[in-house]
Amino acid sequence: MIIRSLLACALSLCLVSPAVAGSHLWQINEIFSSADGTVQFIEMRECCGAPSETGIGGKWVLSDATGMQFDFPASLTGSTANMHLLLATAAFAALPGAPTPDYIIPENFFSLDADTLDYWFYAGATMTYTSGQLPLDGLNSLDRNGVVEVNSPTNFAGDSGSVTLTPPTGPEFIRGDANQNGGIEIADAVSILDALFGGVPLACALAGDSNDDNSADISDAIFELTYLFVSGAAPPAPFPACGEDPTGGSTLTCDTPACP
Amino acid sequence: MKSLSLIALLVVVGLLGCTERASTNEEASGANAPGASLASDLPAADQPTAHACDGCALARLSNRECKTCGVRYVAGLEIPSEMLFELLDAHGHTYNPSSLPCQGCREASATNGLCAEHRWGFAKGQLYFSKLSYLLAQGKPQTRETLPCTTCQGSDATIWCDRCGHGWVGNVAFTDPVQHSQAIEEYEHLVACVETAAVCEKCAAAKFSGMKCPTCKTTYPRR
Repeated sequence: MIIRSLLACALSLCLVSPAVAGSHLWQINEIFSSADGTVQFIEMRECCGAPSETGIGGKWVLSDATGMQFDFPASLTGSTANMHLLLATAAFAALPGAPTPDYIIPENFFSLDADTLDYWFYAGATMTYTSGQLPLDGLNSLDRNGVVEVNSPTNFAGDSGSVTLTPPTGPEFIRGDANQNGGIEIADAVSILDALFGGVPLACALAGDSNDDNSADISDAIFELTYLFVSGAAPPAPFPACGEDPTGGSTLTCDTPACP
Repeated sequence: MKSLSLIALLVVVGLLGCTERASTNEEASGANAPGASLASDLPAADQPTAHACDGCALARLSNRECKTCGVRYVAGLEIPSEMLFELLDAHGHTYNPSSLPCQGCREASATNGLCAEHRWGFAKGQLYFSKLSYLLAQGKPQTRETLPCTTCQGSDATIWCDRCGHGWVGNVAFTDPVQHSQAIEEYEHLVACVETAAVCEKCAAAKFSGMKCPTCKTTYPRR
């Protein structure tokens, strides 16, 4: 009797052996980034309605361009059919309207320019974008088919949302108009040199940053003279009209802007 | 004391049976089932017999892992790398045609073809995750020793036997020479990946998929 019970017990162990979990059917579906890369998310989606694509533990998402890699710490529980996974930066998680990320990734995880994002070695899951494809306007995202649309991150719990990043605000100026007279001419280059070597501070150092490298130095004077006299590149925006610095990131000030 | 030994023996026997049973349960259970259908098509001589490593015979014929003996097979080729074997996932999968992720997959599903974007293949109503497993699905796994023709019984991994009108890729038999030659190309790539795995497992997986190895940073050409 005991033997029979044990035999039954041993056989019953066989019947409860877990099914093998898959992981082939997750794809990188949508990506989003702010202009400085601090707010980013990667949304993955189970493509095909399979309920057992839970075996992601030990697999990873990798950026070919930055070399950054996120390893999934464990496999999933629950049905995966048409579900999403959300990998995002901490700054994204703090935004109003953002669904809670399933996983936190570092800032600038993927490139703002061109990149290929791999999910483990599953070639069909990869997402690639070329220079200029990834929107950085704080509103739109890029999907795996190259479509740009309003971001719509969804997490594994099914919570969806959308984030809107407020564009940087700052004084309006014309880049290169170092002397604040409303135009660009040789006098602006002279003003930059006066500030550097004559101790005459610029009224709007932001405008003196002709080449937009976030510093006002001799390279700005050279950039401006090259533009004026040897057909060099025009100053980056805001130019030739008044406007805000669209790229931000500068610590230069504009104490007495000439623009309205 | 004797009864304790008997109990221990029974538990061990039961647990050994578990690994075999788990494998067959999985094959019989929907999503990952297709190997079973291939095996059930086998001639009686190829059906596993009541032997301690029966599961391995079945695993060899259905591109699966034999947990009892700790070996994994694709087309009869042993795949020592667990990572590579998991990537291959070389048996068929049931799927819902209406939930396929792209137009290429839907077209391939309708024509028993390959999706260029996802590199998935569709054959006999099942989904395969690589060109290799898709092509192997065009043939029929068999044990050569059961064939009457001595040429066909040869041990070369990839041969064509005019007398039998059969080609072999590993333990998979083909009757279409075009499919046979396509399968040879993919099989030889797999053999190269198995060799690479002995040095770098991730390189082998990247090589198979035509991706970048995150460790060695080598990018392998897309196939």
